[in-house]
Formats: sequence, structure tokens, C-alpha cells
Amino acid sequence: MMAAILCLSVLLSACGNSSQEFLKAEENQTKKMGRYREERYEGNEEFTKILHFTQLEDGTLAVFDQQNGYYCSKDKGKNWEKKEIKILEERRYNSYIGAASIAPDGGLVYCYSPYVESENGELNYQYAYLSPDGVEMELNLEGVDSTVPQFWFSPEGILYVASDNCVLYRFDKDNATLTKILQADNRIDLVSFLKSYIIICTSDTSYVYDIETKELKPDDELLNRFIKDTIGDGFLKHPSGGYSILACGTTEDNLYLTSNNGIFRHSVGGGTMEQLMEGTLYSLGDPSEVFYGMILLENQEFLILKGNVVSHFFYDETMPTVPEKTLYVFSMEKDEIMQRAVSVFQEENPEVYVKYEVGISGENGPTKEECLKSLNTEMMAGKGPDVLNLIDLPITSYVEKGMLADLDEVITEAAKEEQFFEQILKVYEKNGSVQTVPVAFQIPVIMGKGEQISQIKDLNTLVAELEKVRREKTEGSIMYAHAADYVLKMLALSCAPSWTLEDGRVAEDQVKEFLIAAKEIWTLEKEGLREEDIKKYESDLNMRTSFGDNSDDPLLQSYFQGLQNYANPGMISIGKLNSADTEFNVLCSMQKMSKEFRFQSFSGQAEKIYYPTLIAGVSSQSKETELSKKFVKTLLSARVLEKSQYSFPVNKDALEAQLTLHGAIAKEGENKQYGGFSASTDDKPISVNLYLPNEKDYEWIMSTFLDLKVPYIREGMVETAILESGKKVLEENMEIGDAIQEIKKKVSLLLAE
Amino acid sequence: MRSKKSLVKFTFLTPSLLGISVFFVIPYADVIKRSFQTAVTGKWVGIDNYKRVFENEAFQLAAFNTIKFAVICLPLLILLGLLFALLVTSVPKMKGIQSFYLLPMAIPSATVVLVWKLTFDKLGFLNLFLADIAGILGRSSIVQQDYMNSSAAFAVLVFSYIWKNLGYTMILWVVALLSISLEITEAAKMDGANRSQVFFQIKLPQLLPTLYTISVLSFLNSFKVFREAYLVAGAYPDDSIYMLQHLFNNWFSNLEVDKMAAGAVIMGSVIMIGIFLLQKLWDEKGDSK
Repeated sequence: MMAAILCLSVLLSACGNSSQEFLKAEENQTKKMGRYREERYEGNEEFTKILHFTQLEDGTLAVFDQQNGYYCSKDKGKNWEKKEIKILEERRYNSYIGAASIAPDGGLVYCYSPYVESENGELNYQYAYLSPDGVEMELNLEGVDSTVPQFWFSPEGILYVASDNCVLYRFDKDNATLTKILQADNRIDLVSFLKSYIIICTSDTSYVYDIETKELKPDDELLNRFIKDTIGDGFLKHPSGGYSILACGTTEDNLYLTSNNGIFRHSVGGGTMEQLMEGTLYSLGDPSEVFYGMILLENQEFLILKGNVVSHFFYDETMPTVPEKTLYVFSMEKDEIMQRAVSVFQEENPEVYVKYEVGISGENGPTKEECLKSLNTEMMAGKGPDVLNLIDLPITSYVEKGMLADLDEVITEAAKEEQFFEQILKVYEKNGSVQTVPVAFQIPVIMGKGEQISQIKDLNTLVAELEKVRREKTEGSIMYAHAADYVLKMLALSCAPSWTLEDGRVAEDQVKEFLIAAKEIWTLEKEGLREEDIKKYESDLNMRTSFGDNSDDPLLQSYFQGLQNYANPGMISIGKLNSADTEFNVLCSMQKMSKEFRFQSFSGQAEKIYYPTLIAGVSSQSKETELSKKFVKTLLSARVLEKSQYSFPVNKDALEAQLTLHGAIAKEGENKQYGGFSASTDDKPISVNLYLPNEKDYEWIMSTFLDLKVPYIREGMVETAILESGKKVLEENMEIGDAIQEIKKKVSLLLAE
Repeated sequence: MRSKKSLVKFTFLTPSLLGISVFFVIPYADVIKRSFQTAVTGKWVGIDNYKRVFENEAFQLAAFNTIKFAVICLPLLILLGLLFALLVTSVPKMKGIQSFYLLPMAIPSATVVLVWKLTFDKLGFLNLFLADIAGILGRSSIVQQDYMNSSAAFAVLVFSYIWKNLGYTMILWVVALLSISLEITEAAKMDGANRSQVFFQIKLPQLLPTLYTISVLSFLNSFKVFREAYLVAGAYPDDSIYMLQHLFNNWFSNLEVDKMAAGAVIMGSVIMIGIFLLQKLWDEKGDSK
């Protein structure tokens, strides 16, 4: 036994020593110097859709933009000059350019289709090579079974062409012949040239082609895993022309890869994927960034083009290898705004490492409750996050228990620099202290004919209008709900805030009114539903879910409901307005295209409601309070919020930037088109022209947002209880009185706790 | 010599003391300390947390349900276990499959929960079975109910507890029964004692020490039933199966650590008092013999 005690004491002392050594090692490590640094060059605003970015033989950078043409930069992307080539400008003016690639000598290959349609109405693509001195030559790509092939030039200037049918060809310029290199299983998106190999990447795998033996090498498992881990079920190349992964080769057969996770070096066929840069330490980690091109300079420096910004990465020996400070940021679910804020903050504060943790990640990850418990344990142990997104967290409890720091100073400072919807920003202000700050939000809207929706002021008027609709439309859906729980969810969008009294008890009268109205509406909706309507609805729901729809309820999006309404005038639709570019612009455009489509904010039992989707808070126990507050300021900045895709920003400047993304606000009555799309609803093809928001639209959104008063965090316990019992009322004819008793019983436990 | 003996004793005790201190005494002392403080700021609040807990309706309901569960389940389990043990010991063939009785304990909770859900759901096997019976009896339909979200949930939970622990309890009883000397029972029979006299006068008194062990173990196991209740019906189940662990779980999620610490101290105290009383009762019975 003595021996055991001795062993134990030796073990404990060993642990002590090793932990001390570890700490010392860590300390030494923090003192190690040398790390990549990022410099951003706010590039050319004329870049809209970049088709190719490369470096020419003389070191000049070159970009070919689909809409604006050929640009060059001699100072690593700080300044860009347009290369005026007459024939190219003519082509650009008269034709649609589908794909292009710049040769190392400055030549250009492209495919274009004149705006004049061919006899059969299809685009008629032609292929051309433009020499560096501006002479255009027709390219004969007969044999490439493709309308818009993809082009790449090797460093030696040899042209490679990939067809729609996943075949890669080498084009011999001298005798205009095509040689088949390989047949891939999927669309070829990326081709990189190394000393001995050509690396060909699709969205799910890679191929290594040996230039000398002209044969495919065995699969590079590591590279394939990298592609799979980075892209998942997504695509390597986006419709916008950007990439999730970039690759560039060297003469040493090393491949450099860029993704949101950082920059990696991989020796083809080798067993390592060496990470040179951690993405989250730079702007690379920003999920809203899409990469257009990567160039390897001397001294292992990199230039990466993202939108119209060039990031220059170079090794700085004076930078500490590991950032000296760490800021811990947490959100229950992955949040695009948080991710962008981390990236921007990281870039602005290279001496800080921002550790962003997401509670629920992956399909087999922990549940919300398990995450919450481990978060609380961390917080109680004083090791919790410095900054939190409080959605899905017990906000009231955190505030009551003094877990959150006062952010009044931060928002006052932010409001001096930028404009905000201040009534939203300070909605949780109590006794001069602001501990929780809404950063982004959504609002409920109702869509239909102008004369219909102008009559809808509350639930009763909604029921009355739907009765009229059903009288006129005896078959089919009248509000694209199709299921009892969807009717409840739609109505809850503008009713739920009124269901609780100030002391937290259930407001019985309001709930009763809601259930009566919901039952009437469901009866009206159900009356005309046919089997095919239900099938269509289920397939829509499945399709949107399988497309990785980011929203909580795919069919509650105003974009989707709006399209249904636009295609079927006379219906009344309800949904959440989530964003400026993808939803507000679409609704405004449909309003301009059809006199029968109008939308307005939806008032049911409550009005002037908004749903915060990100609420920031700083832990009062944070050891980095100042940094945390600085992070919240970054989070609120227009630079971060102007790219929010799934919610509206609380920052007015950011909203303005979103509204003017495609051009300045048009004058009232003026319809300036910037794009369009086609869709199909109920097997009816519809096409929507996208117009710039005009002054009237701008005024509507600004005045609506300035008028918002009631923040409501969706899917709380009371709402869930009411929707569950409501479903029984609608589907199983449960008495409303019994449902209310059931709800009260469920909620009473919550209140009693 | 005496001090050397003490040193040896202390040496032998040290590892256990160390383990108990690190894993039980110190954390429990911390819980007691927290029960007199605010959750986050650690401000001393005296017995305020205890007052709040006793006044809390959810605590009252949870404590009532937990006690009710223990009061119903313990005697039921002990008696059923004994009955089955008597059956097993009297039928020789059944002894061979003793390990089979422990099977419910080996089944993971998640599997048990899945079976419960499939059985007691509104569209579960039980309702289908009852609907079939109703059909056979010529009744048009029966009212289908979601058993786990109704007052029937308590009965389901009791059944679940008994099913899971019966085998284990029975094995303990079987071991105790087999350890009773056959000579004594044979002698009693020779003296003209009938079966029930042998059981009540000879066997039962010798089973009492085992009864104490079984009672304590069953009592402690009764708290583990929360796992199934939580997995089947979530953090806010039907009132009838809302146990103290539900409450503590929800308090922790809401960072109500102060109330949770006070509640844990109360619950721990009640369990300890219960066990001490049980032990005292046994000791007294032992002494009186």
C-alpha cells in the first residue's frame, strides 16, 4: 500500500511537473514569432462577375470580368487599369460572354453568344481566341460536346477545355485539334498545372494526370478527402462564378489549396496536407466570401481575389506565431453574421485569436439542451464564452443573474459612427443598462391583391377576407398552407407575442381567439384542397429541405409564399421577410410586374413585431471585456451586416448597402431592371424581372422598420405548447376549452419553476 | 507499537479517503455552500434559497411525485421480487436461466425508450391492440390516447421501473433464500411446520438483512427512472411523472444554480435520513433478537 501511495504521489508530482512544463512550453510558444499577415486591397468596383484571375508572364495581374471586360494590375492588385480592346468591347456589347480564360502571354480565349437569337430561339455560342495584340481568331472546338465549355491555360500556354459532359481536352492551337485527356464522373470545375501533373477537380473528387506518361495516377485520397470535407454536399464552383476551393500548382509538384479553413500545401500523392494559415485567423474564414482566383508569388506569398477585394498574404517575422489574446465567441447554431464578424474582427485585430464555437453542429451532435448545460457549466466555472449570441439561450435568466455586461457604452459609440434603428438596438434597455443587443431581425408580411390585404387589420378581418377568397376560388389552396400545423405557424407569426401576460401566464382570451380563427381558416383552406395539392405541397417541402434551406421553416419564407401568390393571384399568403436582396427586392419586383400582387407587414393579434435572429451579449465574467465589447461593435458594423443573407441588419447603413447592392435607388415610378429569374409553381412557369428598389420601396422599408416595436423570439415553450394543442383542435376536433386547459397545464410547470 | 498500527490503518484508509474527498465530500460541500449563495455573483443570502425552494410549486409537485413513486414502487418491487424468487427456488429448472432475469438491466435506456414510445404512443402498439380488441368485441372505436402525455404516464413509469429492476431484485432474494440452511427448514418441517409457517417463522426472519440491502438499492435505483421519463417525454412531461430530476435539470438549463443547490441539499438530506432510519430500524431489530 505504501508503494501505491508512493506511486500516486509520484504520479501527482509528475502531473504537476508536466502541467508546469506544458504551461512553460505554451508560454514559449506564444513568444515564437512569425506568421502570415493579410493585407486587403479594396479592388476595382467594376468587377461584377469575374470569369478569370491570373498572373501573366511579366508578373502583371489580369482579370476578365463578364460584364466589364479585361483589367490589369501591376501592383499586386492595389490598382487596376482597364485594357481597352476594340473587338472585345464590341463582343461584350453585342454578346453574352459565357466563359473566358487569360493565357500567360495576355491572350484571351472566350465563348460568346450574340444577343440576336438563332432560329430555334437558343443561344448560339461561338469560340474565339484574342491574341495579346488584340487580334481575334475563331476557335474551332468542333468535337467538344458543350455549349459553354470551361477553359484553362497551362503555364506553357497550352489550352485545356472541359465540356459539359465532364471531358477534359487539350487543344492544339497550331493544327486546331482536340486530344481527349480524361472523362470525369462529374462536372470539371478546377484544373491546376504542376511540374509533372495536371490536377483536375470536380465537386466530389480529384484526378491526377501524369503529363509525361499521359496516364491517370492512382487517386490522391488526401486531396479527395479535403474536397469532401470542405464542400460536403455543396458545389466546388458556384453559379456566381466563385469557388469554394482554389488551387494553384508549383514547379515542385506542390499544390496549394485555399478554402474557408485556410491555405494548405499538399505534395501530390503525399501523406500530408500542411496547413499554412488557419482560415479563422484571416478573412478567409468569412463564409460570405467566395473565392475567384489564387496566385502564388515568390517567397510563398499569396494573392487571393474575393469579389472585388484582393487579399495579399505574406509572412511577417515580427508577428507572434500564436496570437497573444483569445476571444471566445459562442452561438447555439452556426450564424453567418457571427462568422463574418469573427473574420472581420480577426483581420482588424491580428493579435487576437477569435475562437468561434457552435453548440449544435452536425447531424449527430448534441441537442440544444445538452449544449446549454455544458455552456452553463463552462460559465459557472468562469471559462465560458466572452461574447454570446443569446438566441436559444435563457436570456431572462442570464440578465436576472447578472451574467451579462452592460453594452450601453458600445452601442452609444457605434451609433456615433453609423446609423441604426435605435428603437431596435435599445429595445432591451432597462434602467439605463443595455445587456442584450438585437443585431439582426425578420418581420412577418402578408401578400395578396391590394384590395384584399388593405382590409386585413387583424385576425377577424383575415378570416373575412379568406372567406371571400374561398367563395371565389372553390378548388385548390387559398393560402398555400395545406397542413394544419402550417396554418398555425403562419398565423403565429403575427399573433404569438400576444399570448402571454406580463407575469408570464397564458393570455387565455387571446389564445382562444387565435384558436377559433385558426380553426376557421383551416376549415376554409381544407375545403378546396385536392390530393394533388397536398402532394405538390409535400414535394415542395421536401425539395426545399433537401436543398439545405437555411431557414427554420422553408415554406414560411416570404420569397416562396410570394412566388405562389404571384403565380396564383387571388390567394392570400403569409411569410417571414428575411432579407433585402433575396426577398424584399423580389417582392418589390413582383409588385412592379403585377397589379395583382401587393405586400405589407402583417398584423394579427399583435402589430409592429419583429423577430431578432441574433442577439449579442457579453459575459460579465469575461476577462477580455474590452475586446468583447470591441467585437460587439464590429458585429454591429455595416461592414459585417451589409452581407447578412438571412435577416435584416439593425444597422441602417448596412441596410442601405444591401438595398443599393445592384445600383442606386431608382426614382418613384422608374423601373430599372438589374436581373431576373424563372421559376415554376404548380407547373406554371413564371419569370420575374428583378428591378432596383425605388424611392417608394425604400421609404416603405425604412418607415416600417422605424415603426417596429415588439421583439419576439420565436418557438419558445408557450408558443410550442399552443401550437401543439392547436393542432389537436384543428385536426382532432379537440374542444378549445380543453386545449386551453392543456396549454395552461403545460405552461404552469414552466412558470412554477 | 500503537502509533505504528495507527499509521498502517491510516495508510490503508488514505486512498479511499482521498477518493471520497475528491469525488464526494468536496463537491457536496461546494453544493452546500452554493445553497446559501446567489447563483453567479456568489453573494451570501442565508436560507433564502431554501425558502424559495419550499415555496416553489414545481418543487412541491416534483417532490410529491418522487415520494409517491418511491412509496408505490419500493414495496411492489420488493414483494414481486420475493414472490418470483420463491417461485424460482421452488422450480429447479428455472434456476438455470437466472442470468436471463438480468437482461432488462443490460438493455440500454435508449432502446427501452424506443420500445415505450412505439408501445404507448397515440398510434402505438397498445392503442392498435386495444382497437383490435374493440373490433372483436364489436365496439366501433376506442378513444386513442398518448399514454406518455397523460396521467397514465405514471403507471407506465412504474411498470418500466418494475420491469427493469425485478430481475436484479429477484436474484438478490434468490441468493438470500439459497443461503438459508436446509437443515433448519427440514427440522421445522419434521416438527410439523407447514409451508407458510416455514416461510414466515423460519425463512423471513433470516431474509431481513437482505431486505435492508434490497430496500436501499431499490430506493436509489428509483431515482434512475428519470432517464427513461426524460427521454420519452422531455423536460416538461405530464405532471404525473414530473420528478425532482426534471426540476433540477430545468433549473440547471436556466442557470438557477442557487435553487438547484438548495434542492439538492434537501433531497440528499431526505435520502440520508431515510437510509439512517432504515438502518436504525434494522439495528434495533437485530439487537432485540
